[in-house]
Amino acid sequence: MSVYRDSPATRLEALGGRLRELGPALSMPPVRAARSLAASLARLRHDGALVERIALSAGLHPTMVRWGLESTLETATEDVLTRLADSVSWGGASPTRMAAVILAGNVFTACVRAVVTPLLFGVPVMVRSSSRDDALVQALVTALDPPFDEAALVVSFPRDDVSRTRALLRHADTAHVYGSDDTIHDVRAAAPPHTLVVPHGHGLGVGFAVGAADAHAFALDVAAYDQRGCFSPHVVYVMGDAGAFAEALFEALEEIEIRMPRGPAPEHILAAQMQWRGSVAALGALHEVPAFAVGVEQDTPLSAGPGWRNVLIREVTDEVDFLDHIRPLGAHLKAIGVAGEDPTVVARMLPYAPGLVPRVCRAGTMQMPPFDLHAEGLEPWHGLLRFVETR
Amino acid sequence: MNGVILRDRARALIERLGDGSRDDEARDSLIADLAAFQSDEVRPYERLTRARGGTWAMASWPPALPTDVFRLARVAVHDESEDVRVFRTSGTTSGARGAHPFRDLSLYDLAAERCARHMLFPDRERMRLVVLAPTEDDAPDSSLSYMLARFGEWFGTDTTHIWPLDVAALSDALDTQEPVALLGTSFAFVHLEDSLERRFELAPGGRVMQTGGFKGRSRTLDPQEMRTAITERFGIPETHVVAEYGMTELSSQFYETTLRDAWRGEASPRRLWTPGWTRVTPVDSQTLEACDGAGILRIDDTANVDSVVCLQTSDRGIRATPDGFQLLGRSEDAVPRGCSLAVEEALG
Repeated sequence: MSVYRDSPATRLEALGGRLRELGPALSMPPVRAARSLAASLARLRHDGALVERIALSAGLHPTMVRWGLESTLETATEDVLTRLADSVSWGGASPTRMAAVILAGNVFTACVRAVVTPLLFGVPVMVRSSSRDDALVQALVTALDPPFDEAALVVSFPRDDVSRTRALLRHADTAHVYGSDDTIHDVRAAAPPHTLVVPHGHGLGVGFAVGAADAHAFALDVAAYDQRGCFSPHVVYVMGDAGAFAEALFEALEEIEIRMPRGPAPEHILAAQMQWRGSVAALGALHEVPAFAVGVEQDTPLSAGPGWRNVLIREVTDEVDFLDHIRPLGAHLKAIGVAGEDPTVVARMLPYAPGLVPRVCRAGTMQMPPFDLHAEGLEPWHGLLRFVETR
Repeated sequence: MNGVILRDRARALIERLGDGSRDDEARDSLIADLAAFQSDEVRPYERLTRARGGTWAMASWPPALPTDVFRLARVAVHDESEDVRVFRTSGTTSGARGAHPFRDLSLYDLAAERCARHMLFPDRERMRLVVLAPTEDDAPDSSLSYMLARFGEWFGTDTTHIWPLDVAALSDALDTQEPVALLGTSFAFVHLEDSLERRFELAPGGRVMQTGGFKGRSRTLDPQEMRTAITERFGIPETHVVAEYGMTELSSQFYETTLRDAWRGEASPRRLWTPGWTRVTPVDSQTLEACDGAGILRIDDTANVDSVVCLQTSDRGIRATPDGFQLLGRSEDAVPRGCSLAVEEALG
């Protein structure tokens, strides 16, 4: 069994202890581990019932779920996993004995990288997931072949349960924590001294466009996961005519809505959406239909929208002006999508803004990060391998 | 139609309906005229009306301005130089505070006096007041402090301010045979509950008014828990614990009906009274159409002559009776940014 719901703290601690012992069994040539894990992931790609379960629990339209699954799983091929495992210089490095992962509920596919990467490096993993959002992670651990099937467990318990959080971390060398600043703070407080806590805090993406020609490219970035991901663009900064860009983006969102409709938004989001859209209409220009909206506004402290396909367009004079706008986001800025310019031009500017370590990519690919992503500027194996210096 | 005539109409309506009577036709007509006037004079409202008026939703009603706009732009028919007072909200996660400018407070005063007279002090001309909130001098931009200062003039035999909260001073103020009205913020009562060891027995006729939510506070209590705690702590019947629902962006307030009902010997469900010069409508959060069940509250307040009469809140409520509603949750319960909560400020 690999899924444990509402188990007591003592049980979680025992499971963690058992996982620690399984580490050596995962030792194998990288290519073999990559082949096994890629095969397990491939089995999830055509599971129609899984799509329905995720749609229900994540509040996304099934076509959106299918797109999310497909675009995530296609990044985790045998070749990609092999290259990732081979990219590490193993001299002096050994896998740690157990990783804990605490998942957030905003993007259902986040569990794929979080579970597969430790296993690829030979590290057993225990994942805490909300029982309402665990459809994919459950399916994933169930699809694993030996010896990985024994080395990945999913547990669920309330987020604020300190004793069970402690039990989860008791045997963990590292804990990758996805969630709000509060969640990360609570996990740090509960972690024993031997556990390295690697935070993946909440954040957002922005877009940078030169001209209006590529507005359509951003439509997929906005619509993907109903704009609930940390890479989702909430504001697109435009060098050029912001009004024309907004109109083009609105039309492109209309086309996407036909193919991948927005899921049912919860009541508190609709309330926030209503305030935000009304404010944009009162202060700038708003293009809206119930399922999405594009606002153009320039001169007030209007904040980003509530997600769920509500995006703000702002005009900037040049790249420096753009950098001034995003500088305050600091580590919360997770992605910059770029259109009409080479993304490396934007990437080269970032060292001038301390604390900014977003992923920079072409518009239209913001929600399709590579599997071996350097999230938060860290190597994919951060905290999973122990390098012992002997010189 | 000019602002002076509209102000006179609003004053006449409030004076006429302050006793609880109703004239919805006159109210609706005034709302429409005020909205037409304000859409010419208030820039954000003019833009909203142009964007949405009569085309998208609530075609027969003027569009409602989201309360958020008060923290993003000036919402007033008059120039800043004419302001006699600006009330400000307590702030949001973004730090920006909403501002509601007034060039004349007489309508605000009239509405506040009539609302409180009808629901909070229906049985007494005057009584002793103990206020758990900053004084008007300490918080000149707080509409609550302003209102409570006026309460002292209108309803008080004498007023004791206890702020910052001081348990010894409170004990002194409440150790009396005189009935006392204890007025304060919800969080002040939670704080007292955490720090007081003793219980009080307020003299018969004593009452508690608590107002406001728990925005930005680390501890919250649900309304029934709160009432029970106050009832037990101060030794008063639950009917005499009256919640007030108000917001800086409005000029009128809404009080629970229980004290008045008890005084009249009536038993009816706890609800907030909708004064006859206001219109409170739960609307669908997507279409903004009026809905029968629970919805987001749209509030039209004809005492808002110099700002905007039609406001869209984020608070949820349901109509309880033709002249009353129940609040189901204040907007601070909502998590508006999903993955991006922490960065709201930075994107401002």
